[in-house]
Amino acid sequence: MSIPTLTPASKLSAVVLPVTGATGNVNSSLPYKIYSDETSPMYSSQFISGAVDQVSFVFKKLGGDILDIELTEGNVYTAYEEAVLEYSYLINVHQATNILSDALGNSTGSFDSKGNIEASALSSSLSGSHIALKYPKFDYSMTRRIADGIGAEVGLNGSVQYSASFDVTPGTQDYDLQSIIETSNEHSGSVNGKRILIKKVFYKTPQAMWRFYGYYGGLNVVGNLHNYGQFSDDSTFQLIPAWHNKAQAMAFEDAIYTRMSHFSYELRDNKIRIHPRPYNGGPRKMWVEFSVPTDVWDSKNEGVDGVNNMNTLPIGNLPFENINAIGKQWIRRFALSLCKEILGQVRSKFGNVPIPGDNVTLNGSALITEAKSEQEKLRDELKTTLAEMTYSKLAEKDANMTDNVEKVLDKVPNYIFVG
Amino acid sequence: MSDDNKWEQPASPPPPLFTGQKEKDFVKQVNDEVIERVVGQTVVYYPISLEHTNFHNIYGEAVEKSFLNPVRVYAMVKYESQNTTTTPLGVDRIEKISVAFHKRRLSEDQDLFVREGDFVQYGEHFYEILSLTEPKWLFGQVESRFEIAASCVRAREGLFNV
Repeated sequence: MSIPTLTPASKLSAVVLPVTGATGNVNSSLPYKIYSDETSPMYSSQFISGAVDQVSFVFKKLGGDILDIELTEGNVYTAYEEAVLEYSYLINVHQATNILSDALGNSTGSFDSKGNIEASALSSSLSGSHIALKYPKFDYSMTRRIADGIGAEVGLNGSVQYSASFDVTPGTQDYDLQSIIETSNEHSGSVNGKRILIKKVFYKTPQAMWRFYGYYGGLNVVGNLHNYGQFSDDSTFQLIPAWHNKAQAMAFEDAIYTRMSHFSYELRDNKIRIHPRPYNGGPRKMWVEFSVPTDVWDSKNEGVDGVNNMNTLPIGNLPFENINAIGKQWIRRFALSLCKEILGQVRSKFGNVPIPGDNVTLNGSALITEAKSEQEKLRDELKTTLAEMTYSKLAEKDANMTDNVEKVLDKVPNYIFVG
Repeated sequence: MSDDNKWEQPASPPPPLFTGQKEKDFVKQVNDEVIERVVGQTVVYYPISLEHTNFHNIYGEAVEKSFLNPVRVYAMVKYESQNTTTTPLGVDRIEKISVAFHKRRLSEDQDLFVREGDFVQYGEHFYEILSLTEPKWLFGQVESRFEIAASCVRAREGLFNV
Protein backbone atom coordinates (compact mmCIF):
# COMPACT_ATOMS: atom_id res chain seq x y z
CA MET A 1 0.00 0.00 0.00
CA SER A 2 1.43 3.30 -0.97
CA ILE A 3 0.82 6.43 0.96
CA PRO A 4 -1.95 8.61 -0.55
CA THR A 5 -0.90 12.09 -1.46
CA LEU A 6 -2.50 15.02 0.23
CA THR A 7 -4.17 17.13 -2.42
CA PRO A 8 -3.79 19.98 -2.54
CA ALA A 9 -0.44 19.80 -0.83
CA SER A 10 -0.22 21.34 2.58
CA LYS A 11 1.23 24.80 2.41
CA LEU A 12 3.01 24.57 5.71
CA SER A 13 6.22 22.66 6.03
CA ALA A 14 4.86 19.40 7.33
CA VAL A 15 7.47 17.31 9.09
CA VAL A 16 7.46 13.92 7.46
CA LEU A 17 10.35 11.50 7.32
CA PRO A 18 11.44 10.99 3.71
CA VAL A 19 11.80 7.54 2.22
CA THR A 20 15.54 7.85 1.89
CA GLY A 21 18.24 9.98 3.37
CA ALA A 22 20.60 12.27 1.54
CA THR A 23 24.35 12.16 1.91
CA GLY A 24 24.64 15.92 1.74
CA ASN A 25 22.37 16.46 4.72
CA VAL A 26 24.10 14.21 7.21
CA ASN A 27 26.84 16.42 8.55
CA SER A 28 24.77 19.56 8.89
CA SER A 29 22.13 17.68 10.85
CA LEU A 30 24.38 16.21 13.48
CA PRO A 31 25.14 17.75 16.84
CA TYR A 32 28.63 16.36 17.33
CA LYS A 33 29.77 15.55 13.79
CA ILE A 34 32.35 13.18 15.22
CA TYR A 35 32.25 10.84 12.26
CA SER A 36 30.72 13.10 9.64
CA ASP A 37 32.89 16.20 9.60
CA GLU A 38 35.67 15.87 7.07
CA THR A 39 37.99 17.78 9.35
CA SER A 40 37.38 15.41 12.23
CA PRO A 41 40.08 12.82 12.91
CA MET A 42 37.32 10.24 13.12
CA TYR A 43 35.70 11.15 9.82
CA SER A 44 34.24 8.18 8.03
CA SER A 45 32.45 8.11 4.72
CA GLN A 46 31.12 4.74 5.81
CA PHE A 47 29.39 6.40 8.71
CA ILE A 48 27.62 8.76 6.34
CA SER A 49 26.50 5.87 4.16
CA GLY A 50 25.26 4.02 7.20
CA ALA A 51 23.35 7.06 8.44
CA VAL A 52 21.68 7.54 5.06
CA ASP A 53 20.65 3.90 4.96
CA GLN A 54 19.30 4.19 8.46
CA VAL A 55 16.66 6.64 7.20
CA SER A 56 15.24 3.99 4.87
CA PHE A 57 15.41 1.42 7.64
CA VAL A 58 13.50 3.61 10.08
CA PHE A 59 11.01 4.61 7.41
CA LYS A 60 10.15 1.01 6.68
CA LYS A 61 10.25 -0.24 10.24
CA LEU A 62 7.94 2.48 11.55
CA GLY A 63 5.51 2.14 8.69
CA GLY A 64 6.34 5.34 6.90
CA ASP A 65 4.89 3.99 3.71
CA ILE A 66 1.49 3.74 5.39
CA LEU A 67 1.32 6.78 7.62
CA ASP A 68 3.44 9.80 8.30
CA ILE A 69 6.41 9.63 10.62
CA GLU A 70 6.79 13.02 12.21
CA LEU A 71 10.58 12.95 12.18
CA THR A 72 13.21 14.66 10.11
CA GLU A 73 16.21 13.10 8.46
CA GLY A 74 18.26 14.94 11.06
CA ASN A 75 16.54 13.08 13.87
CA VAL A 76 17.56 9.79 12.32
CA TYR A 77 21.14 10.91 11.71
CA THR A 78 21.37 12.10 15.29
CA ALA A 79 20.01 8.80 16.55
CA TYR A 80 22.53 6.98 14.40
CA GLU A 81 25.40 9.03 15.75
CA GLU A 82 24.20 8.48 19.29
CA ALA A 83 23.91 4.75 18.68
CA VAL A 84 27.50 4.59 17.44
CA LEU A 85 28.68 6.58 20.44
CA GLU A 86 26.65 4.41 22.79
CA TYR A 87 28.18 1.32 21.30
CA SER A 88 31.60 2.89 21.57
CA TYR A 89 30.92 3.76 25.19
CA LEU A 90 29.85 0.27 26.16
CA ILE A 91 32.75 -1.36 24.36
CA ASN A 92 35.21 1.06 25.88
CA VAL A 93 33.87 0.49 29.37
CA HIS A 94 34.25 -3.20 28.80
CA GLN A 95 37.78 -2.75 27.55
CA ALA A 96 38.57 -0.52 30.50
CA THR A 97 37.51 -3.34 32.78
CA ASN A 98 39.84 -5.61 30.88
CA ILE A 99 42.95 -3.53 30.87
CA LEU A 100 42.79 -1.12 33.76
CA SER A 101 44.87 -3.19 36.14
CA ASP A 102 47.57 -3.46 33.49
CA ALA A 103 47.33 0.12 32.29
CA LEU A 104 47.59 1.81 35.69
CA GLY A 105 50.48 4.23 35.70
CA ASN A 106 50.87 4.10 31.94
CA SER A 107 50.55 7.00 29.56
CA THR A 108 47.27 8.75 29.45
CA GLY A 109 46.03 11.10 26.75
CA SER A 110 44.25 14.34 26.09
CA PHE A 111 40.78 14.48 24.65
CA ASP A 112 38.74 17.09 22.89
CA SER A 113 35.17 17.95 23.77
CA LYS A 114 33.91 15.11 21.61
CA GLY A 115 35.95 12.44 23.34
CA ASN A 116 38.45 12.11 20.52
CA ILE A 117 41.95 11.54 21.69
CA GLU A 118 44.12 14.44 20.63
CA ALA A 119 47.30 14.22 18.65
CA SER A 120 50.04 12.61 20.69
CA ALA A 121 52.20 9.54 20.59
CA LEU A 122 49.16 7.46 21.34
CA SER A 123 47.15 8.71 18.45
CA SER A 124 49.73 9.12 15.73
CA SER A 125 47.64 6.92 13.52
CA LEU A 126 44.05 6.86 14.57
CA SER A 127 42.93 4.76 11.69
CA GLY A 128 43.21 1.09 12.48
CA SER A 129 45.66 1.44 15.31
CA HIS A 130 43.57 3.46 17.68
CA ILE A 131 44.45 2.87 21.31
CA ALA A 132 40.93 1.65 22.00
CA LEU A 133 41.66 -1.19 19.59
CA LYS A 134 45.02 -2.24 20.92
CA TYR A 135 45.61 -5.46 22.73
CA PRO A 136 47.98 -4.43 25.49
CA LYS A 137 50.55 -6.50 27.33
CA PHE A 138 49.66 -7.95 30.66
CA ASP A 139 51.70 -5.83 32.99
CA TYR A 140 50.00 -6.29 36.37
CA SER A 141 50.71 -2.66 37.13
CA MET A 142 48.55 -2.47 40.18
CA THR A 143 50.02 -5.59 41.72
CA ARG A 144 53.47 -4.23 41.03
CA ARG A 145 52.64 -0.92 42.63
CA ILE A 146 51.36 -2.68 45.73
CA ALA A 147 54.54 -4.73 45.85
CA ASP A 148 56.53 -1.51 45.58
CA GLY A 149 54.82 -0.19 48.65
CA ILE A 150 55.41 -3.34 50.61
CA GLY A 151 59.02 -3.44 49.42
CA ALA A 152 59.53 0.11 50.55
CA GLU A 153 58.40 -0.88 54.00
CA VAL A 154 61.20 -3.38 54.29
CA GLY A 155 63.77 -1.16 52.72
CA LEU A 156 63.66 -2.48 49.19
CA ASN A 157 62.83 -1.26 45.79
CA GLY A 158 63.53 2.39 45.47
CA SER A 159 62.64 3.51 48.95
CA VAL A 160 65.20 5.79 50.54
CA GLN A 161 66.57 4.43 53.79
CA TYR A 162 68.53 6.63 56.12
CA SER A 163 70.86 5.83 58.95
CA ALA A 164 71.64 8.02 61.95
CA SER A 165 73.20 7.63 65.32
CA PHE A 166 72.76 9.13 68.73
CA ASP A 167 75.00 9.22 71.73
CA VAL A 168 74.01 7.12 74.66
CA THR A 169 74.45 8.82 77.98
CA PRO A 170 74.91 6.58 81.00
CA GLY A 171 71.90 6.83 83.22
CA THR A 172 69.64 8.26 80.51
CA GLN A 173 67.02 5.99 79.11
CA ASP A 174 64.90 8.34 76.97
CA TYR A 175 65.88 9.96 73.70
CA ASP A 176 63.70 11.87 71.28
CA LEU A 177 64.75 10.40 67.98
CA GLN A 178 62.52 12.65 65.91
CA SER A 179 64.09 15.72 67.41
CA ILE A 180 67.64 14.36 67.33
CA ILE A 181 67.43 13.39 63.67
CA GLU A 182 65.43 16.36 62.51
CA THR A 183 67.87 18.82 64.00
CA SER A 184 70.98 17.04 62.81
CA ASN A 185 72.89 18.73 60.05
CA GLU A 186 72.99 15.59 58.04
CA HIS A 187 69.26 14.83 57.95
CA SER A 188 67.43 18.07 58.52
CA GLY A 189 67.05 18.60 54.77
CA SER A 190 65.74 15.16 53.96
CA VAL A 191 63.38 14.98 56.93
CA ASN A 192 62.14 18.46 56.28
CA GLY A 193 59.60 18.46 59.06
CA LYS A 194 58.11 15.11 58.15
CA ARG A 195 57.60 12.36 60.62
CA ILE A 196 60.30 9.74 60.31
CA LEU A 197 59.62 6.05 60.33
CA ILE A 198 62.05 4.16 62.57
CA LYS A 199 62.88 0.77 61.08
CA LYS A 200 65.71 -0.55 63.13
CA VAL A 201 67.73 0.27 66.24
CA PHE A 202 71.11 -1.30 66.89
CA TYR A 203 74.43 -0.82 68.55
CA LYS A 204 77.84 -2.29 68.06
CA THR A 205 80.19 -3.64 70.67
CA PRO A 206 83.79 -2.72 70.38
CA GLN A 207 84.88 -6.29 70.99
CA ALA A 208 84.16 -8.58 68.11
CA MET A 209 86.29 -11.61 68.81
CA TRP A 210 83.24 -13.70 69.66
CA ARG A 211 82.42 -13.62 66.01
CA PHE A 212 85.29 -15.97 65.45
CA TYR A 213 84.90 -18.19 68.44
CA GLY A 214 81.26 -18.00 69.45
CA TYR A 215 78.38 -20.16 68.53
CA TYR A 216 78.84 -22.34 65.47
CA GLY A 217 82.23 -21.03 64.59
CA GLY A 218 84.09 -23.50 66.73
CA LEU A 219 87.80 -23.99 66.98
CA ASN A 220 90.29 -24.54 64.22
CA VAL A 221 88.52 -22.19 61.89
CA VAL A 222 91.01 -19.52 61.09
CA GLY A 223 89.86 -16.98 58.67
CA ASN A 224 89.06 -17.77 55.09
CA LEU A 225 92.36 -19.25 54.09
CA HIS A 226 91.62 -22.71 55.32
CA ASN A 227 88.65 -24.89 54.97
CA TYR A 228 86.81 -26.44 57.82
CA GLY A 229 87.55 -30.07 57.00
CA GLN A 230 91.28 -29.73 56.96
CA PHE A 231 91.38 -28.81 60.61
CA SER A 232 88.73 -31.13 61.85
CA ASP A 233 89.58 -34.14 63.92
CA ASP A 234 86.64 -36.07 62.66
CA SER A 235 86.52 -38.11 59.54
CA THR A 236 82.84 -38.23 58.67
CA PHE A 237 81.07 -35.27 57.08
CA GLN A 238 77.50 -34.90 56.12
CA LEU A 239 77.03 -32.97 52.95
CA ILE A 240 74.38 -30.28 53.21
CA PRO A 241 72.93 -28.14 50.45
CA ALA A 242 73.99 -24.54 50.18
CA TRP A 243 70.55 -23.19 51.14
CA HIS A 244 70.75 -25.11 54.37
CA ASN A 245 74.01 -23.45 55.22
CA LYS A 246 72.54 -20.09 54.29
CA ALA A 247 69.46 -20.61 56.45
CA GLN A 248 71.71 -21.61 59.31
CA ALA A 249 73.73 -18.46 58.84
CA MET A 250 70.58 -16.36 58.85
CA ALA A 251 69.41 -18.00 62.04
CA PHE A 252 72.81 -17.30 63.49
CA GLU A 253 72.65 -13.66 62.49
CA ASP A 254 69.19 -13.35 63.84
CA ALA A 255 70.23 -14.80 67.14
CA ILE A 256 73.08 -12.39 67.40
CA TYR A 257 70.99 -9.38 66.51
CA THR A 258 68.13 -10.11 68.82
CA ARG A 259 68.70 -12.75 71.43
CA MET A 260 72.21 -11.73 72.24
CA SER A 261 71.50 -8.04 72.53
CA HIS A 262 71.78 -6.78 76.04
CA PHE A 263 69.43 -3.93 75.36
CA SER A 264 65.89 -3.62 74.23
CA TYR A 265 63.73 -0.61 73.61
CA GLU A 266 60.30 0.84 73.45
CA LEU A 267 59.36 3.38 70.84
CA ARG A 268 56.51 5.78 71.39
CA ASP A 269 55.93 8.75 69.13
CA ASN A 270 59.49 8.36 67.92
CA LYS A 271 60.78 8.70 71.47
CA ILE A 272 62.92 5.77 72.40
CA ARG A 273 63.33 4.31 75.85
CA ILE A 274 66.28 1.98 76.25
CA HIS A 275 66.23 -0.92 78.66
CA PRO A 276 68.09 -1.41 80.88
CA ARG A 277 69.29 2.01 81.84
CA PRO A 278 72.56 2.68 80.00
CA TYR A 279 75.57 2.38 82.21
CA ASN A 280 79.25 3.11 82.09
CA GLY A 281 81.04 0.54 80.04
CA GLY A 282 78.07 -0.08 77.84
CA PRO A 283 77.66 1.07 74.27
CA ARG A 284 78.35 4.75 73.83
CA LYS A 285 76.46 5.15 70.63
CA MET A 286 73.45 3.61 69.03
CA TRP A 287 72.29 3.71 65.44
CA VAL A 288 68.90 3.85 63.94
CA GLU A 289 67.76 3.17 60.43
CA PHE A 290 64.77 5.07 59.32
CA SER A 291 62.93 6.24 56.30
CA VAL A 292 61.04 9.37 55.54
CA PRO A 293 57.68 8.44 54.00
CA THR A 294 57.37 10.17 50.68
CA ASP A 295 54.31 11.92 49.37
CA VAL A 296 52.09 9.46 47.52
CA TRP A 297 51.72 12.03 44.76
CA ASP A 298 55.47 12.45 44.36
CA SER A 299 55.73 12.70 40.60
CA LYS A 300 59.31 11.40 40.66
CA ASN A 301 57.82 7.99 41.20
CA GLU A 302 57.14 6.08 38.04
CA GLY A 303 53.59 6.25 36.80
CA VAL A 304 52.18 8.69 39.32
CA ASP A 305 51.14 10.96 36.47
CA GLY A 306 49.81 8.10 34.37
CA VAL A 307 46.53 6.27 34.22
CA ASN A 308 44.94 6.11 37.66
CA ASN A 309 41.44 4.96 36.84
CA MET A 310 39.00 4.37 34.03
CA ASN A 311 38.69 8.11 33.66
CA THR A 312 42.25 8.60 32.47
CA LEU A 313 42.57 5.60 30.20
CA PRO A 314 43.68 6.78 26.77
CA ILE A 315 40.59 5.43 25.07
CA GLY A 316 38.73 7.60 22.59
CA ASN A 317 35.68 7.03 20.46
CA LEU A 318 35.82 3.86 18.43
CA PRO A 319 36.71 4.39 14.80
CA PHE A 320 33.64 3.63 12.76
CA GLU A 321 35.49 1.48 10.25
CA ASN A 322 36.66 -0.81 13.01
CA ILE A 323 33.20 -1.68 14.22
CA ASN A 324 32.43 -5.10 12.83
CA ALA A 325 29.15 -6.55 11.59
CA ILE A 326 28.06 -7.49 15.09
CA GLY A 327 28.45 -3.93 16.21
CA LYS A 328 26.91 -2.43 13.11
CA GLN A 329 23.71 -4.42 13.56
CA TRP A 330 23.52 -3.42 17.21
CA ILE A 331 23.88 0.20 16.14
CA ARG A 332 21.08 -0.08 13.59
CA ARG A 333 18.73 -1.57 16.13
CA PHE A 334 19.64 0.95 18.80
CA ALA A 335 19.29 3.86 16.38
CA LEU A 336 15.86 2.59 15.37
CA SER A 337 14.85 2.48 18.99
CA LEU A 338 16.13 6.00 19.55
CA CYS A 339 14.07 7.18 16.57
CA LYS A 340 11.07 5.53 18.08
CA GLU A 341 11.71 7.36 21.32
CA ILE A 342 12.02 10.72 19.55
CA LEU A 343 8.82 10.05 17.66
CA GLY A 344 7.19 9.16 20.96
CA GLN A 345 8.35 12.44 22.45
CA VAL A 346 6.87 14.33 19.52
CA ARG A 347 3.59 12.51 19.68
CA SER A 348 3.25 12.64 23.43
CA LYS A 349 3.68 16.34 23.88
CA PHE A 350 -0.09 16.48 23.78
CA GLY A 351 -2.03 13.51 25.05
CA ASN A 352 -4.91 14.27 22.78
CA VAL A 353 -4.81 16.17 19.55
CA PRO A 354 -8.07 17.84 18.66
CA ILE A 355 -9.57 17.10 15.30
CA PRO A 356 -12.80 18.56 13.99
CA GLY A 357 -15.61 17.12 15.99
CA ASP A 358 -13.43 14.83 18.00
CA ASN A 359 -10.03 14.13 19.56
CA VAL A 360 -7.26 11.77 18.55
CA THR A 361 -5.08 10.04 21.05
CA LEU A 362 -1.60 9.58 19.65
CA ASN A 363 0.62 6.64 20.53
CA GLY A 364 3.46 8.74 21.92
CA SER A 365 3.52 7.20 25.39
CA ALA A 366 3.43 3.69 24.00
CA LEU A 367 6.30 4.49 21.66
CA ILE A 368 8.41 5.88 24.47
CA THR A 369 7.76 2.91 26.72
CA GLU A 370 8.52 0.50 23.93
CA ALA A 371 11.65 2.36 22.91
CA LYS A 372 12.99 2.53 26.46
CA SER A 373 12.41 -1.16 26.90
CA GLU A 374 14.17 -1.95 23.64
CA GLN A 375 17.13 0.21 24.53
CA GLU A 376 17.45 -1.42 27.91
CA LYS A 377 17.33 -4.85 26.33
CA LEU A 378 19.91 -3.93 23.74
CA ARG A 379 22.24 -2.53 26.38
CA ASP A 380 21.74 -5.57 28.59
CA GLU A 381 22.31 -7.90 25.69
CA LEU A 382 25.58 -6.24 24.83
CA LYS A 383 26.72 -5.96 28.43
CA THR A 384 25.89 -9.59 29.12
CA THR A 385 27.78 -10.71 26.06
CA LEU A 386 30.76 -8.55 26.91
CA ALA A 387 30.75 -9.75 30.51
CA GLU A 388 31.35 -13.24 29.18
CA MET A 389 34.33 -11.96 27.25
CA THR A 390 36.47 -10.23 29.82
CA TYR A 391 40.02 -11.45 29.75
CA SER A 392 39.58 -13.11 33.12
CA LYS A 393 36.46 -14.89 31.92
CA LEU A 394 38.27 -16.05 28.83
CA ALA A 395 41.01 -17.48 31.02
CA GLU A 396 38.36 -19.28 33.05
CA LYS A 397 36.87 -20.70 29.91
CA ASP A 398 40.24 -21.83 28.68
CA ALA A 399 40.88 -23.53 32.00
CA ASN A 400 37.50 -25.25 31.85
CA MET A 401 38.17 -26.31 28.33
CA THR A 402 41.50 -27.80 29.30
CA ASP A 403 39.96 -29.61 32.25
CA ASN A 404 37.23 -30.99 30.10
CA VAL A 405 39.65 -32.13 27.44
CA GLU A 406 41.58 -33.96 30.13
CA LYS A 407 38.38 -35.63 31.28
CA VAL A 408 37.69 -36.75 27.76
CA LEU A 409 41.19 -38.06 27.39
CA ASP A 410 40.79 -39.98 30.63
CA LYS A 411 38.16 -42.04 28.90
CA VAL A 412 40.38 -42.92 26.00
CA PRO A 413 41.73 -46.48 26.49
CA ASN A 414 45.44 -46.50 27.07
CA TYR A 415 47.66 -48.85 25.20
CA ILE A 416 48.47 -51.81 27.43
CA PHE A 417 51.93 -53.14 27.06
CA VAL A 418 52.09 -56.88 26.80
CA GLY A 419 55.63 -58.09 27.25
CA MET B 1 1.88 53.18 25.29
CA SER B 2 5.56 52.89 24.63
CA ASP B 3 6.99 50.31 22.28
CA ASP B 4 8.45 48.45 25.24
CA ASN B 5 4.99 47.49 26.36
CA LYS B 6 3.94 45.95 23.09
CA TRP B 7 3.63 42.22 23.24
CA GLU B 8 3.72 39.71 20.44
CA GLN B 9 3.48 35.98 20.60
CA PRO B 10 6.75 34.52 19.38
CA ALA B 11 6.63 32.15 16.47
CA SER B 12 8.91 29.56 17.97
CA PRO B 13 9.09 28.13 21.48
CA PRO B 14 9.06 29.09 24.22
CA PRO B 15 5.72 30.62 23.51
CA PRO B 16 3.04 31.08 26.09
CA LEU B 17 1.45 27.82 27.16
CA PHE B 18 4.12 25.88 25.26
CA THR B 19 2.03 26.08 22.15
CA GLY B 20 3.72 28.06 19.42
CA GLN B 21 3.70 27.82 15.69
CA LYS B 22 5.46 24.45 15.62
CA GLU B 23 2.87 22.93 17.90
CA LYS B 24 0.05 24.36 15.84
CA ASP B 25 1.63 23.08 12.65
CA PHE B 26 2.01 19.66 14.22
CA VAL B 27 -1.67 19.60 15.09
CA LYS B 28 -2.53 20.61 11.54
CA GLN B 29 -0.29 17.87 10.18
CA VAL B 30 -1.91 15.25 12.36
CA ASN B 31 -5.35 16.54 11.40
CA ASP B 32 -4.57 16.46 7.70
CA GLU B 33 -3.34 12.93 8.01
CA VAL B 34 -6.18 11.64 10.15
CA ILE B 35 -8.94 13.37 8.23
CA GLU B 36 -7.67 12.64 4.73
CA ARG B 37 -5.70 9.42 4.98
CA VAL B 38 -7.19 7.60 7.92
CA VAL B 39 -10.85 8.61 7.96
CA GLY B 40 -11.16 9.77 4.37
CA GLN B 41 -14.67 11.22 4.42
CA THR B 42 -15.17 13.68 1.61
CA VAL B 43 -17.87 16.13 0.75
CA VAL B 44 -18.23 18.15 -2.40
CA TYR B 45 -18.65 21.76 -1.51
CA TYR B 46 -20.83 23.93 -3.73
CA PRO B 47 -20.32 27.62 -3.06
CA ILE B 48 -23.32 29.63 -4.19
CA SER B 49 -22.37 32.47 -6.48
CA LEU B 50 -23.93 35.70 -5.31
CA GLU B 51 -23.00 37.34 -8.55
CA HIS B 52 -24.60 34.84 -10.84
CA THR B 53 -27.67 33.79 -8.89
CA ASN B 54 -30.85 35.55 -9.69
CA PHE B 55 -32.40 35.96 -6.28
CA HIS B 56 -35.65 37.69 -5.46
CA ASN B 57 -35.24 41.34 -4.58
CA ILE B 58 -37.66 41.26 -1.70
CA TYR B 59 -37.38 37.77 -0.27
CA GLY B 60 -33.79 37.19 -1.09
CA GLU B 61 -34.44 33.69 -2.32
CA ALA B 62 -33.65 32.09 -5.63
CA VAL B 63 -35.38 29.18 -7.24
CA GLU B 64 -32.45 28.52 -9.51
CA LYS B 65 -29.12 28.74 -7.80
CA SER B 66 -25.82 29.20 -9.55
CA PHE B 67 -22.70 27.99 -7.91
CA LEU B 68 -18.99 28.31 -8.38
CA ASN B 69 -16.84 25.32 -9.24
CA PRO B 70 -17.39 22.61 -6.64
CA VAL B 71 -14.46 21.62 -4.46
CA ARG B 72 -13.74 18.26 -2.93
CA VAL B 73 -13.17 18.73 0.77
CA TYR B 74 -12.18 16.26 3.44
CA ALA B 75 -14.21 16.69 6.57
CA MET B 76 -15.58 14.76 9.50
CA VAL B 77 -19.18 13.97 8.71
CA LYS B 78 -21.68 12.71 11.23
CA TYR B 79 -25.15 11.52 10.57
CA GLU B 80 -27.29 13.33 13.09
CA SER B 81 -30.92 12.33 12.73
CA GLN B 82 -33.85 11.66 10.52
CA ASN B 83 -37.28 12.79 11.54
CA THR B 84 -40.35 11.68 9.68
CA THR B 85 -43.59 13.47 10.24
CA THR B 86 -46.89 12.42 8.77
CA THR B 87 -49.45 15.08 8.06
CA PRO B 88 -52.67 15.18 6.05
CA LEU B 89 -50.59 16.65 3.29
CA GLY B 90 -48.24 13.68 3.23
CA VAL B 91 -45.01 12.43 4.71
CA ASP B 92 -42.25 14.85 5.47
CA ARG B 93 -38.78 13.51 6.15
CA ILE B 94 -35.99 15.74 7.48
CA GLU B 95 -32.47 14.35 7.48
CA LYS B 96 -29.63 16.15 9.25
CA ILE B 97 -25.91 15.76 9.18
CA SER B 98 -23.11 17.74 10.71
CA VAL B 99 -19.94 18.43 8.84
CA ALA B 100 -16.85 19.46 10.78
CA PHE B 101 -14.25 21.20 8.69
CA HIS B 102 -10.61 21.69 9.52
CA LYS B 103 -10.40 25.44 9.26
CA ARG B 104 -6.69 25.83 8.50
CA ARG B 105 -6.80 23.19 5.80
CA LEU B 106 -9.62 25.00 4.10
CA SER B 107 -8.35 28.52 4.40
CA GLU B 108 -4.59 27.96 3.98
CA ASP B 109 -4.41 25.16 1.46
CA GLN B 110 -7.67 25.31 -0.46
CA ASP B 111 -8.56 28.98 -0.24
CA LEU B 112 -12.07 27.99 0.69
CA PHE B 113 -14.44 29.62 3.15
CA VAL B 114 -17.53 27.96 4.50
CA ARG B 115 -20.74 29.93 4.41
CA GLU B 116 -24.26 29.42 5.58
CA GLY B 117 -26.52 28.78 2.61
CA ASP B 118 -23.94 26.92 0.59
CA PHE B 119 -24.51 23.27 -0.28
CA VAL B 120 -22.49 20.17 0.26
CA GLN B 121 -22.89 16.81 -1.36
CA TYR B 122 -22.27 13.78 0.80
CA GLY B 123 -22.79 10.54 -0.98
CA GLU B 124 -25.57 11.04 -3.44
CA HIS B 125 -27.48 13.65 -1.51
CA PHE B 126 -27.22 17.39 -1.22
CA TYR B 127 -27.37 19.20 2.07
CA GLU B 128 -27.79 22.84 2.78
CA ILE B 129 -25.65 24.47 5.41
CA LEU B 130 -28.04 25.95 7.92
CA SER B 131 -25.76 27.19 10.61
CA LEU B 132 -22.07 27.49 11.34
CA THR B 133 -20.19 27.53 14.60
CA GLU B 134 -16.52 27.55 15.53
CA PRO B 135 -16.63 25.51 18.70
CA LYS B 136 -12.93 24.80 19.18
CA TRP B 137 -10.08 27.15 19.87
CA LEU B 138 -6.81 25.36 19.56
CA PHE B 139 -5.06 25.32 22.93
CA GLY B 140 -7.59 27.87 24.04
CA GLN B 141 -6.07 30.56 21.89
CA VAL B 142 -8.69 32.85 20.41
CA GLU B 143 -6.58 33.50 17.33
CA SER B 144 -6.39 29.78 16.63
CA ARG B 145 -9.94 28.90 15.81
CA PHE B 146 -9.66 25.44 14.63
CA GLU B 147 -12.89 23.90 13.56
CA ILE B 148 -15.89 24.97 11.55
CA ALA B 149 -18.93 22.93 12.45
CA ALA B 150 -21.67 23.03 9.87
CA SER B 151 -25.13 21.92 10.72
CA CYS B 152 -26.77 20.74 7.50
CA VAL B 153 -30.13 19.55 6.43
CA ARG B 154 -30.87 17.55 3.38
CA ALA B 155 -32.06 19.69 0.51
CA ARG B 156 -35.51 18.95 -0.74
CA GLU B 157 -35.86 17.74 -4.26
CA GLY B 158 -35.68 20.66 -6.63
CA LEU B 159 -34.10 23.02 -4.14
CA PHE B 160 -30.64 22.51 -5.53
CA ASN B 161 -30.00 21.12 -8.93
CA VAL B 162 -26.70 20.13 -10.44
